[in-house]
Amino acid sequence: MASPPRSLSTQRARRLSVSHRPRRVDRTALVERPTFRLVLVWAALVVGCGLLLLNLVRLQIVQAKQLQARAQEQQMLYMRPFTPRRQIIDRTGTVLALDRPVYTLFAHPKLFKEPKPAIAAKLAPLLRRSTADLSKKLDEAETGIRLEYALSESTADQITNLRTDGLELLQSQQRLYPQQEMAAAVLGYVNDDHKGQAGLELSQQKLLERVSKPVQLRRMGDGSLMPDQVPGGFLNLDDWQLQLTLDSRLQRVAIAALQQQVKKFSAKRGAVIVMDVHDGALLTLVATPSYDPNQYFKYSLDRFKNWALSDLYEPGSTFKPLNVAIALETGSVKPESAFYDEGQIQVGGWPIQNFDYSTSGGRGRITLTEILEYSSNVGMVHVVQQIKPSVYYTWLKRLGIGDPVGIDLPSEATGQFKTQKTFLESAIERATTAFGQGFSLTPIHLAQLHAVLANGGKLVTPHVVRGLFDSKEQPYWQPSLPTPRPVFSKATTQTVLSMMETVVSKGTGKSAQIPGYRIAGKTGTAQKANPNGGYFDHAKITSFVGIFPVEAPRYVVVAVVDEPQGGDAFGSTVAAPVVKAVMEALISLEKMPPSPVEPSAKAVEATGR
Amino acid sequence: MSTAFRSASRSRRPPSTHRSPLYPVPAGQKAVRSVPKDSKPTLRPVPLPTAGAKAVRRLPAPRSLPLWLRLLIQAQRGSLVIAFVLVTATLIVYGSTVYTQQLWSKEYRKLKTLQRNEREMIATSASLENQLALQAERPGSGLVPQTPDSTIFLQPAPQRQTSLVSPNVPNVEASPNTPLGY
Repeated sequence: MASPPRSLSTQRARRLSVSHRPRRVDRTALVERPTFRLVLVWAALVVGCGLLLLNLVRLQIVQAKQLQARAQEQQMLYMRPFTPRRQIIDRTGTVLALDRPVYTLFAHPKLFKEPKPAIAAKLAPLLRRSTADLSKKLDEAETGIRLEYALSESTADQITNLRTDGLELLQSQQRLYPQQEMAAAVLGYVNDDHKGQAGLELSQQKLLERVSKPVQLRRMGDGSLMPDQVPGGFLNLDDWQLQLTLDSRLQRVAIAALQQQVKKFSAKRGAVIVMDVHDGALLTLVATPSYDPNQYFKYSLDRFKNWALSDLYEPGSTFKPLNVAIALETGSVKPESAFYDEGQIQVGGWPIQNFDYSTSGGRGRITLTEILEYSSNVGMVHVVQQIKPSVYYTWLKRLGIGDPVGIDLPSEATGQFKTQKTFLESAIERATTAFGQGFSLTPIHLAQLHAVLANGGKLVTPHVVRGLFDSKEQPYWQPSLPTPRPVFSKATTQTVLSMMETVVSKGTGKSAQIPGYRIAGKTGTAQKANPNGGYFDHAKITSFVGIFPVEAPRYVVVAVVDEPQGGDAFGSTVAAPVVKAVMEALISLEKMPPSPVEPSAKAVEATGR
Repeated sequence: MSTAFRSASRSRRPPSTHRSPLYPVPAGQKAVRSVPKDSKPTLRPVPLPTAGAKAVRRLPAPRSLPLWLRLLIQAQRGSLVIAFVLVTATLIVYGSTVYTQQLWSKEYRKLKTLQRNEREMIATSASLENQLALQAERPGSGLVPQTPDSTIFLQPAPQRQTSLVSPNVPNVEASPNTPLGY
């Protein structure tokens, strides 16, 4: 009874309003009639519904296609997620090659909403170009002007933030080689289409490339992505990296040492190879002159081949230890056998002499060890003459002379070797082969052959790829290398190694000595073969092969310097110091303790000095 | 008891839409009483607020509803509850789909940024490494390559007794994680 409910009061108000009406009723009686109002409202609703229906027809049937296309354009987003080519890292995890997205900037002046100079002024600081230069460029065409290649992500963001119509950024991928020239000979480079053109980028294309399909995504009003159409595994990009056996620290030391010698002797080119003798893993593969794979287009084509693999040379004296090993293995000679060194002999009408015949003359009766120590050509001819020619030929074939080594890098050359017929018939062929001339092989093949002497007689396959590893260093894939093929017996290789040790301790390889370490080695200075037949008069190729530590050989180091100039350019003066520098670095990197001092070795060293 | 309550509420519904706003309900009366008072007058054309007492007297004959009707009513109530639950669930599910999509979108952007940072950092550190190595190689950098001459090799200490192995194990595990400098 206190206060009336609200509903009641409204009712009263309505009644009041009705009571005011009668005045109007007189004037417009027709309008006031309830049925008319009803019809009017109904008609308005029907007309409204009809119009809505018409609009619906227009939207759903007449314009359906265009509108759908427009909606699609706004909502759908074809996204090609950035799927980088796999990274390449060295054995220590140093990144040698990686991918990054870059942007190409196009301008379409036709679509500009601002005057060209204003846009040029906005872009100038971002592109680091002058406004006048850009304005000129913008006047060139109405559409599709390429203003800049390879913009970084941050610059691209800044350009996007300008929110200027008529500028277009297209994403592409760029391969970055942060170590520049350091491993170019191994890595190679990729071209504009991101296809490998040399080195590992070419030979391991399958391992490095990752494929990605463009994904269709829906976009919300604020531009954020709707994940409902994302295919499974869209985000699950594997983190495998291609790991190499190379050691970039050693590689740098080798490059520095090699370049120093190449410069000193005005040589044409050089190569250094460091190989683990047990599995054929290459710790260093350097070929100079090299190139910067980031800017490969600035270099001539001949730089892109790795000449340590692709070019043949006559190994010269560095091949002598292998001949000695063959002679010992076949039982043709004994380790203590002695031979008469005349200094100069005639074989099949051709003169053969020692490199130092003019100064030292004939050495007389010398042992097998001394033949290697003095690098006596005549002595070697006598040694090889003890082996039956057909057996000798078979043994050379067993060493793979004339076959490829099967390294996992492209463009490997196959060595040249005489046919069996020529070899057996011609005494001079066998005589020149005795001191490493008359046939050719690649520096990498030489390293492989010396690894046979170092690892107890097995032919291992040189390789640079360690495998695909994830970020936790778990292997996903590893190359399956052929099982090492036994060639020599362990006793033979040990005998040859001890002979090679004297080459370093008191023979031609003294410049490679490192105090405290037992090193075996062999110098080589060969005349360069003229492609038109015969040999060049002054062109020679010097090399040095080092194996260490002798008590338990782990590494073989080969240095080859092509066409060093000067009278004192020999394997011992040009290539041996490079090998020494590399071995010193290797000792530090691998933390190799000095060789245990043996009484006999001590005596040898004492006499050597 | 439930039947009586139901019948009352059911009969109350029709008048509530039409007429009840016009009639003030006396305040201060018992709630249970007021219900039949309101509902009964609806049957008559001219209800009087004062005739409430008579209406109450007529009520005592409770009409028991047929079973099918009761079942139907129960079904209606049940379905009401189910409908409510379903609507709520639908709203929650719909809301969560929108929310998770937004969340995904946000996280995806975050992932993109992180990946980009990672890339940039790898590239920068690798380039820096190269720069340092090149600088070190230059003459006058004050750095020399490490050689065996500048290296000290120590003889490894003789092997200790094996009995000490077991207490050593926890030490070995702990040492890489503990910053010993603090």
